[in-house]
Amino acid sequence: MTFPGGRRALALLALVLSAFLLGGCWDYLDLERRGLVMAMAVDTDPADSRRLRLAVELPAPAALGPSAMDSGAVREPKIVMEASGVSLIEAGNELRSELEREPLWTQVIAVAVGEAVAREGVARVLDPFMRWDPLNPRAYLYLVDGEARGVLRLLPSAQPLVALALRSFADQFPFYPGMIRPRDVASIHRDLQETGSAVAPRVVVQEGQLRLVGGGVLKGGTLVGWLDAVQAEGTNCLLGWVYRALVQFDCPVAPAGQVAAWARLVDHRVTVAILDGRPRFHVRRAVSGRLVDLAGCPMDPEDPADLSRLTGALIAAIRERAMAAVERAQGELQVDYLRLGELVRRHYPGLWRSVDWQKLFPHVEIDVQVEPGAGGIESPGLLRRPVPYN
Amino acid sequence: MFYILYWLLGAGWLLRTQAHLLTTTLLTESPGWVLNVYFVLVTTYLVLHGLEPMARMFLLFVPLYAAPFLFVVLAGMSDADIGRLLPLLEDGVLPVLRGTWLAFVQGFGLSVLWMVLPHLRRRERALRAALVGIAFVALPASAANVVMLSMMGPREIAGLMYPTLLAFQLVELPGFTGFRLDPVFLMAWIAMAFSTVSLLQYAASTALSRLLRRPTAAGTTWVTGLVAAVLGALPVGQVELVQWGQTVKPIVVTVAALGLPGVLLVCAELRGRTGAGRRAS
Repeated sequence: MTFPGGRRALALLALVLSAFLLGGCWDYLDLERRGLVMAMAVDTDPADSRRLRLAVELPAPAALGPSAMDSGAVREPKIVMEASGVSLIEAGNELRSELEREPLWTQVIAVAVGEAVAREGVARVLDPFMRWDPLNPRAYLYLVDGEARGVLRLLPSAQPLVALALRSFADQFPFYPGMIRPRDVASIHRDLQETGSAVAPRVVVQEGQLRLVGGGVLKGGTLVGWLDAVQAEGTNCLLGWVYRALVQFDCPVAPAGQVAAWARLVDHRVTVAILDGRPRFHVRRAVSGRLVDLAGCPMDPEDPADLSRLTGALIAAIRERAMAAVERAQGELQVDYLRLGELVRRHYPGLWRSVDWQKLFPHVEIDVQVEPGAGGIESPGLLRRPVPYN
Repeated sequence: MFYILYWLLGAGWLLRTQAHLLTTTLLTESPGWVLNVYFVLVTTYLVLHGLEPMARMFLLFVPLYAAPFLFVVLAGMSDADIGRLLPLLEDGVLPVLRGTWLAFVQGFGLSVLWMVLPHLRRRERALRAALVGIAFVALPASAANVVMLSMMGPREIAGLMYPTLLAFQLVELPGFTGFRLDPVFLMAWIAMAFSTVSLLQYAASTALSRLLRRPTAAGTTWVTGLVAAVLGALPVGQVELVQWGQTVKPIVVTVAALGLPGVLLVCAELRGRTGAGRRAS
């Protein structure tokens, strides 16, 4: 017996039934059985320095549900667990013996690497992140001054999780270049592959508070030194990562007085020329500024002479920061984390092949020129003259 | 026979690659052949209905493919450094030409076009439409290649198994921290793979039915689907696929898309002239 449209109905039924297979017969897992790993901290295992100790941070589901609200009990908003293994993946797998949920690694947004691991080499962290798909290569990498696990144990004041606090610092970078610009694992891996060096932000814990200041320099994947806030700001500038920064400088006519200006990048160019067979670099930055604090500095921004002196002082302060980064790179560290060698490789491949850049870099000439962009200090702010008291 | 084998191997190649991609990213525990069997069942269903439903279906896929690529190109531009393309001619023109050749022979478009073209009534219009179709694929793919090279650099790209997948993974939507876009890439990939496998299966099954002088291609469609699924289940690793993709595939695709059709064209021209000469005498 047949009925009209029977084959179509069967085909439709088959398609509907096939929808049950879309989740996969092997990979199906309910969301409520998953544990969202948001941050990872990697240290060397104190019991065996060849092993890694991994700490992970997960939001505590019991602290977020309505039952937790009703009971009135105060629960920590997060769970921090630790395990060790010869590799990051093994340590992560070891967590399964304690974690009551299936770990979901794709949500990792912050990876904190302890100083000891970083000094041995970050390859043990970066390789699994780039190789194993469930780990998120978009997670931001932070270098911790000291042990990384302590960072995850902190309870941030304004965020429920350290992962979110670290991410919030990254969001604030455009206004605070005193830390190296936080970047994802994939970008740092790319830099290390491309130039052999990279910079990453430094995390410190001071009086129980999380702080991002300065950065760490990685050479060949190992941490070779730290940058302070000034050097980090200069580095960010020279790498073209800073578009605005608060610049504080001495008042040109009264050193006790301080001037603050929001500087804005108008133009940034790095060029290389070959002189006597050696590369010579010229960094040109054009900035404009907006005065935001002139207390104790009896100068009138409406007076062209005063404005010119203020602009000169602003430019000198910016140049000083850039030079601090150059001196750190060429001096003690002797690492081209400013990516200048890449410029030679791109524009003078013949020369690049003939020189030993590691040896040459500390001796190359780097000229940093900062000049006022169109407008210079373009605004005195809402107040036209300094407050007349004090 | 050569072309039947060529199309089936092409379909098997894509199915194997897709199995690797899906089991590496989304369905890590699922056996690849199970995913392929389901996939081939759907392509067979479509191929059984002929060329027109296939064309209509592929037309629906165009935005599915073009939109994500356009999005990743735009999103990637913020992190792109066009200087990464330099030095362009460091080792001369040949590596650039070889790279271009390698990129473009990864598709089966031209050889499939030779197969489909005789079935169309208005060939000139169809040829124009086919060229537009190729441009739809080639232009976003070229733009995505340039942006990805600018984002990651040639050395990094060369070391990656699926650079486009990483490009999608690195895109972050404002306000959606932690939200990954690789499923969007997989969606675009599956749409592309589905179109290509369907066309290759169609080409192989119609050729086989003609060879066997069958009245319809229904039986051969099931046979070619089965063969493609079996080829896609062969234990070939990701690395081997990539290596063969850079050594064997470019030669085979060039021979099939340009070499043999060129020889056949010359032969046909010669035969035509000879025939015309005889008729005139």
